[in-house]
Amino acid sequence: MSRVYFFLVFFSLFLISLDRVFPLTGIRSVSQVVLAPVSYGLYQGAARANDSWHFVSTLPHIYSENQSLREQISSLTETAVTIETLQSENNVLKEQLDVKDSVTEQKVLASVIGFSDENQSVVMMLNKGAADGVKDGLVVIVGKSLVGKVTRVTDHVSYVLPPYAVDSRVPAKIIHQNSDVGKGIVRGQFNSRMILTDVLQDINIEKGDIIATSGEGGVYPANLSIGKVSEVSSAENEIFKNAVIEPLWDLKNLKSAFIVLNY
Amino acid sequence: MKIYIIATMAFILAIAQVAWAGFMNIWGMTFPLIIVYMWLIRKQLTFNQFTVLSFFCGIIIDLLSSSVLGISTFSILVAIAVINLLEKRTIYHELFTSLISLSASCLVFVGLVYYLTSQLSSL
Repeated sequence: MSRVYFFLVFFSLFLISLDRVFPLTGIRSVSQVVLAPVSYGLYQGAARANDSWHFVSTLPHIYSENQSLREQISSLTETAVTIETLQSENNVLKEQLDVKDSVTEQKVLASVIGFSDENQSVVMMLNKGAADGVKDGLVVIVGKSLVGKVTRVTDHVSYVLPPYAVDSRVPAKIIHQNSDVGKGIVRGQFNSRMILTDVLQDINIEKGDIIATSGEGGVYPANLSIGKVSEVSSAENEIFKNAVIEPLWDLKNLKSAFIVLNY
Repeated sequence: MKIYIIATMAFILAIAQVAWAGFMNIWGMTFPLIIVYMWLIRKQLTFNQFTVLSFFCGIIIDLLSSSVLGISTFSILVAIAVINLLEKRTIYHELFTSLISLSASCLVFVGLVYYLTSQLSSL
């Protein structure tokens, strides 16, 4: 072992201490101007390779998947007709009551540039930061699905903690056959798992039910889908029952997401 | 010339370590691609060159990731010390020692990053 080695080891320990006392966000922001575009290029390349591999590996199952998707389309078409009727009825009622849409979301589109480990979970990195108006605590969505919450921001990069991160808590509601049947709390578990807890025993929850944000607590907007129930566990002598939640999207397949600046 | 190519590849892989973390996630841990590369090039450089290159790779990982600055740098330096010690001080068959040093350095790096991140973020 050389002197250079020991000097660099002590220097790295000094950096750890220094960053704990005075967070070196300035150095991070400056370096990320150069590093973030390279990371973005590498991520996009890997995502394309992953998509191609996924396409090739799913080829043998495409026929059966196609058949089941056709069935789903016909059932969804029926639902769409019902929703359209309800929507037009809702519009007429809104006009009559003079109700305006009070919610106006301001969003910023950000590209995924990589991932980082934090608190036993993968943290997603987006290429928009404080310079674009992003702040800690903002919600990140894709369509009407919740992707996570911004936990840390530098000038050009924001770090997003997904709902399945350990210690993550999201107030949620259970949607069973298109109607809201009850509430619970989605808790992140180790290894990208989510559990819905605090669900009352008399609530009818089944495999395939959709779990969405309830909007309680004001941290997350309401009606953002979180996942689908994949397993329900309940014991008669317990007050609450739990359910395992499967995310609706795969973090690895995300290329971009919206950061909601206000809602 | 060779050293510049090795260093450039190392810096790109250090960025890839963060950019590809989502694709290399095994049971909640990220596969240490940079350590595998360091292990592959261990005989191409002198120990001092190897140390300095590892230090800069660690700094790149730290600057891009959200963890405390210095954690990956320190962990990578400890991991290369493991490679160096096992390969220089053991008397076993060369292939066996090489494989042991690769596995041990990967485990040390992942373990240290995981331990230091969880300890320092809870402070």
